[in-house]
Amino acid sequence: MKPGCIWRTLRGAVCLFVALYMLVPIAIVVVISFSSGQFLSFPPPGFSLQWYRALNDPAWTSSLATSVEVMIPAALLSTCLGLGAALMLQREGLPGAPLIRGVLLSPLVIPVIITGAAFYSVFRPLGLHGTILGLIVAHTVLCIPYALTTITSSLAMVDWRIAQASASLGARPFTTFRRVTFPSISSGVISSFLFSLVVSFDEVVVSMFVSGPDARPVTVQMWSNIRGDVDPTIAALASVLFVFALLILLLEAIFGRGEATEQ
Amino acid sequence: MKHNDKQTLLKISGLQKHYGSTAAIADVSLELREGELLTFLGPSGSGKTTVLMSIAGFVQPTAGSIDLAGKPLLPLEPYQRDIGMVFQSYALFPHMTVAKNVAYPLSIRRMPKAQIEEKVARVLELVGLPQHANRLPSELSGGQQQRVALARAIVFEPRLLLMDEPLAALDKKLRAKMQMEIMRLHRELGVSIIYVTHDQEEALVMSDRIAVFNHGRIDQIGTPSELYDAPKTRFVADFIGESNLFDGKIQASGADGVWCALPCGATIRLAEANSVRKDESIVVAVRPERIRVHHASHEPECENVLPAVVSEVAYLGQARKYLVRTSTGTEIVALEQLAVQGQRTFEIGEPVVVSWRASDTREVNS
Amino acid sequence: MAAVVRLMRRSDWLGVPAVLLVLGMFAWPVVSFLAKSVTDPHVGLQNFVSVATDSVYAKVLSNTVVISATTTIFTLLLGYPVAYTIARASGRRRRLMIFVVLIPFWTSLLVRTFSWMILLQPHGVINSLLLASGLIEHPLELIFNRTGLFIAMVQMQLPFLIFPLFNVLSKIDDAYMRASANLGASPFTTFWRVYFPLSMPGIVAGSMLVFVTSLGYFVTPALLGGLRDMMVAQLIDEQVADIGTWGVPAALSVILLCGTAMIFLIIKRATGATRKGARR
Repeated sequence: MKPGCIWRTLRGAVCLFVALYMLVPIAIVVVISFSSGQFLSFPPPGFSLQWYRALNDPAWTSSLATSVEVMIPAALLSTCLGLGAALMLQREGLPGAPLIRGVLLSPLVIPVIITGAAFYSVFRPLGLHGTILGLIVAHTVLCIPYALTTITSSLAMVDWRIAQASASLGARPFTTFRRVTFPSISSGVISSFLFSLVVSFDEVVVSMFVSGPDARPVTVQMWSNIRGDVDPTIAALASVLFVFALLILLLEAIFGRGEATEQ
Repeated sequence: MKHNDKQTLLKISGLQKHYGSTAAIADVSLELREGELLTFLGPSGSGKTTVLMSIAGFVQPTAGSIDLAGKPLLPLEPYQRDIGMVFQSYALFPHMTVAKNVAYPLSIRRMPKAQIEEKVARVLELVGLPQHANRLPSELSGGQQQRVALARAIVFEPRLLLMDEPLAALDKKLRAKMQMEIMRLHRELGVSIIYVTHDQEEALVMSDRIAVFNHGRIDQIGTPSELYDAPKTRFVADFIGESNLFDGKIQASGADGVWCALPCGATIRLAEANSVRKDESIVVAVRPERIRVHHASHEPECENVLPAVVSEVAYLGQARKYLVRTSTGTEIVALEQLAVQGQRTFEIGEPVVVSWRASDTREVNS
Repeated sequence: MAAVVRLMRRSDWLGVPAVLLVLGMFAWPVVSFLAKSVTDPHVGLQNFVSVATDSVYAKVLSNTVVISATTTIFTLLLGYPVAYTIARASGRRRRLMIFVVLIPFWTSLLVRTFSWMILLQPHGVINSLLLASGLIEHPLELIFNRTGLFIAMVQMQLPFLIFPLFNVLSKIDDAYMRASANLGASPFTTFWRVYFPLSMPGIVAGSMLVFVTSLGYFVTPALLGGLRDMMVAQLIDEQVADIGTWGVPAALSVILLCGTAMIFLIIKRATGATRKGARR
């Protein structure tokens, strides 16, 4: 038993270390965002909301607004397109299905730096560079793989016999879809939308190459700030991004694919 | 096979295992004699597997002791116990070939390579798989995997072999064949075996003795014929083979036997009973194959005769099973062997008379 | 084209918008960008030649591989015990551990990198704690060098190793371990001869994912690494955004992609071969 105890204690120590390793950095950022001091010192001298108030600055509010203006259409579009693609890919005998799926998933596989540079080279002549539309297009493309995989796994859990039953009862394909299939995958669709929101909101590298002075999401604004003078405003902003992602995760856990109890 | 003169290899005393307030093993004591094949028989949840796992070391009993060849077993870790075990799922290491699987316990014991090869070859020959040595478990059939698991468990010549429902995953014909194989190996090797199963036919075929488990206790231990002909409890009478079970009250007793009254009004006679006090409750068991079915007008010369109507008939190939119902609603199962020529068949709804001897009527504890 | 349209069923049209968008607004831009490696500024392979001969480019490429490989090794060393513990846990404890590991996964890359900047600065949290406790006399250099980069990258990549590995580990049947113990193997022997070999597919899957994604890292080395730790993504960015050339960054991108693809293929062949070889 004794040598076993040593290994187990060692393992426990590593797990504890990793847990702290995962959580402490972000926890410190959140703590610093409430700092009453002027610098990024830890522990902070006191509690204050000054940095959250500093977010009221037009530079931040406009970039936050841009982020929202981009992420909602991008998430909606990618979810719809992903839904269509998932439905198309699920029928048997589709010629070239693996290839099509590979193409649709490729934005996930190609390193974002290459994607960013590619958008940069193409968007300029098209006039999409530095526009909200350009950002929406870029983010939609990046979110489609997430939407596709989420909805595909949701479709995989559907019992196709109920769709067959619906057809045998006289319902046309679209009616069957609307009244039988879609309710079954609705949680998957919601998950896909929520994931896409987070992906778009957190996107930084591709956004860097596509944004301009009139269309700059908050992540790009942060990026340029971080390399300059850093003050706890960034910490406040980082906390906002973190809480947003956490909230979306919570929503997803409640409404999303997690519960597969639909009939 | 008489083993009265053989030594005790394994002794279990007062074994208990509680999970919270539930007792998986309530109080189990038994002795395994050297060289015998003892079966733990019982339904799922009866405790038989828990006792086996306690012997193997994967379950820590809450109370009691287990001694192997006189030495206490419980303080030892599973890998120190030197007991062979065949798991229900075989648990053959998927990343090792058959030969490597079988060689594993020998290489752990740091046997020289040449000796390992020799032993592995010999035991694979013994189980009939010499040419499969370099295959992976995934390439073998269920029956072949089972034999490899067996080979691996005996290659290091343990004194005790534990088998946890090893044939449960096989189909009926293969199971029957493997039962014979295991019995042959048992004879040739002389190793002591504890065999866990829920299949009472299997137990009757293979065992020297059977321990019947019921809700964490052993209801009865004995040879197959002892358990079959003289079941001590209602559970054993019902679990091993089939029994007709009647609850009744003692009416009278005398030199000819004991009479007991059934709730439906009929009176049946036993040869003997534990207590003969009037109005005492008693549970009586009669085996279906001891009950004869006759034409309604027939008057058989048996102590117990009851009129009834046939409600179901089942044809079993070598026998025919009748379910008859008396006028007061008591259901009786009778099994007629079809070996006798010219036996007539009774139809559903036909009035008949069933009969059996008092000496075939046994009292069981409830 | 007409033949393709005729073969399509009604449901197939649903996927057309997605395919068109990804082909037109992703595949086409990427391919045309990569093509610039052999067309910009003149047609030919001179971009690849300069990448191969210039020592700066060579250093950056070797940095990328070395940093990615080292990150992978550290991630594996830390992640294996965690994945093992999660696989052995059940119910609430398991869900809690998975949640803890997932948090960085869902936190924005920028936020995570920024948090490390705060922690690793000379006056940052870690140094303050170490100085205060008396363990060191001068602040450690943890930022703008490879040490800080590793510390951050390992934390970010841990979920990508832990999850594929955990997936494989959780499927290893307990019965194998019990059988090994029953056959006389000590717990260490059981781990080394039974559990570890069976976990190999998970190790390969997780390591490959970590290595390949590390190759393309940009934000973290840009903010936390030193000048000598420049990785290929930073070089591509510098060439495109700051200098404004296309040929060299496109060539570097081609190399990055080919490297990624090659690793995928090598690993695929290796895992396929081990399975077939054992059969002999």
